[in-house]
Amino acid sequence: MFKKIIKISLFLCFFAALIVNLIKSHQEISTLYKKYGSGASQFLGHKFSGLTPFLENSQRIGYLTDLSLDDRIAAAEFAQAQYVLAPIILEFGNPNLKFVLVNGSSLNRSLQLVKDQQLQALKKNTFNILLTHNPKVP
Amino acid sequence: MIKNLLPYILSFALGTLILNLVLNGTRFRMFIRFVLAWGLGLGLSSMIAFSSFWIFNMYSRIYALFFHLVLIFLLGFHQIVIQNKRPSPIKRAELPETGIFILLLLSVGTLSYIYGHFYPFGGWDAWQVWNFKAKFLFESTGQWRNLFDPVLWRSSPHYPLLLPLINVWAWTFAEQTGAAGPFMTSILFNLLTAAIIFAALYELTGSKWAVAAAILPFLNAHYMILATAQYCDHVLGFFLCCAIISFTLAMNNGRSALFGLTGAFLGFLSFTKPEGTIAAGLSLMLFLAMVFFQKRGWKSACWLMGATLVFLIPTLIFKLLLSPGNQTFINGLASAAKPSSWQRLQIIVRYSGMELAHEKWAGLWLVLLAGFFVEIRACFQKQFIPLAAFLILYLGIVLAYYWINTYFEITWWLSVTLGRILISLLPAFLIWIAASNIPRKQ
Repeated sequence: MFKKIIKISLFLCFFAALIVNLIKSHQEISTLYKKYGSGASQFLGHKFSGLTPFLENSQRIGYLTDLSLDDRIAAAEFAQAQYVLAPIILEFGNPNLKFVLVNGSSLNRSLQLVKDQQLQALKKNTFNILLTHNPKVP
Repeated sequence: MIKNLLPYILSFALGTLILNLVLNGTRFRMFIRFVLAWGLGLGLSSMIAFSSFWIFNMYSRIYALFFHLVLIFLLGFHQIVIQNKRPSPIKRAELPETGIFILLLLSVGTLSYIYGHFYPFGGWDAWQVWNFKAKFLFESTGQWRNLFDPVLWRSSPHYPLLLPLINVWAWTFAEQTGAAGPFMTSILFNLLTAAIIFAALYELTGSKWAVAAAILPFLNAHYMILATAQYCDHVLGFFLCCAIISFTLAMNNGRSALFGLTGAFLGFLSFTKPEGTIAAGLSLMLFLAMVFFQKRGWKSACWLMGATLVFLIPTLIFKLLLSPGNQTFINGLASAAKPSSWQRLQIIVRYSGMELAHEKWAGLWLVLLAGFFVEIRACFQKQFIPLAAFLILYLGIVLAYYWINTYFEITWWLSVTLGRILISLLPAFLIWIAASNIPRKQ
């Protein structure tokens, strides 16, 4: 008898869990709809698309920013840039490669980085990402 | 659309034909056959894709496609000509069960699509680790080994390649590496996970209540967000279930070929993640112990060992020739600067308990724990001993690893990884507890 009561209680707990999960799932989906609408979330990697044709089959390029990768957005941008440009390897903080991407917190900061590292700006896209050339590297 | 689906369909066809060949004369219900065949096919497709890099130094779509088609043709021909007079290896499922199974898949597929479409590029680890590797491999023209350069340490180059290679295969007919491939792979593995929970429970208990257990994880928002984030944890969980279930069936049926199938799934499991490699090694030891302990003979042991060794080859090649090794490891037992302290162990144990009771799980783990205590004797009956022993030992290894590796600050590390480990173990736990609690139908 005791065992039967326990089994029925477990059965009720299981169905309570099913219902609670269903309600919470509905709430989560509603939250996501409010946040993103019916569309998809923004992918930061788009900022780096279209650069590959200018990289002359380089297997590695540098990546400079004035932001720390402890900053979540800066880290996400770097990771998504790496994803978009694969199979080219991005070397974070390395200006000593033929091509260097400069993604500063603002265009002025990016231009300052170009100046400090004595790079030559080749191209700027609509997201203010600078593709630069290091004249010291043949 | 059909162009994107075709690789998965070819994998399923290949898996089905191989399963029909090796399990000739073994009668199973349609559901378990369906799900094991697809798992086998996907694992084999990833291995065919992997072989392309060693032969052509890049991914050759023509080679991968040709390899699949030749195998499908030869196996299909063999089946039509030689096996057509033998009895069907599929136990006919009754109409209500088939309807329930289809409804389950439709529900899980719809929910997975709803969650997944908010993040078509996946979560953080998708573009930093898994999809990045897939894109790198797919678009490489000879420089694919650069993927294992230590400079890419943020992308965990020591993680094996099963999921990226499945995505590479999924792009075979695509013009470019779009988000559709990984997105569909993640939904497919959700469907297969639901299918294996249902099929395993239905095979073991014969009860339609299997569907209630199978839908439970997919109603949990936290599980769904991570399972549609295009990560590898639910892939690991799926292959773990395949290995455990095929071994349980092998022990129940006594068919040697099923031990071989178990070995194949252990090989795939070892190629998913470093945790998968540990899980596969631990499972193999436990399975072999069970085979000898229950006196199943050398033939069964040889099938299990032989198949595991064959399907372990990609993992061995990866570990020995490609992986730069884990660069995020400090042995706290030997380090004076970052020792494995008593306090660290206390945090791990306390955090693990808090994680199971966390509101994001909406009582899911608590119900499972209650089910465990209510039917504790049934949980340790003979056929569940390998599963029970695996889950207990594996959790012990995971907690020990958290304690010994002091590279990361422990609270942060637990907060970002423990939930994912639980996601990979949830389907196996669910099968274990539900199979012990659902009354068996004769």
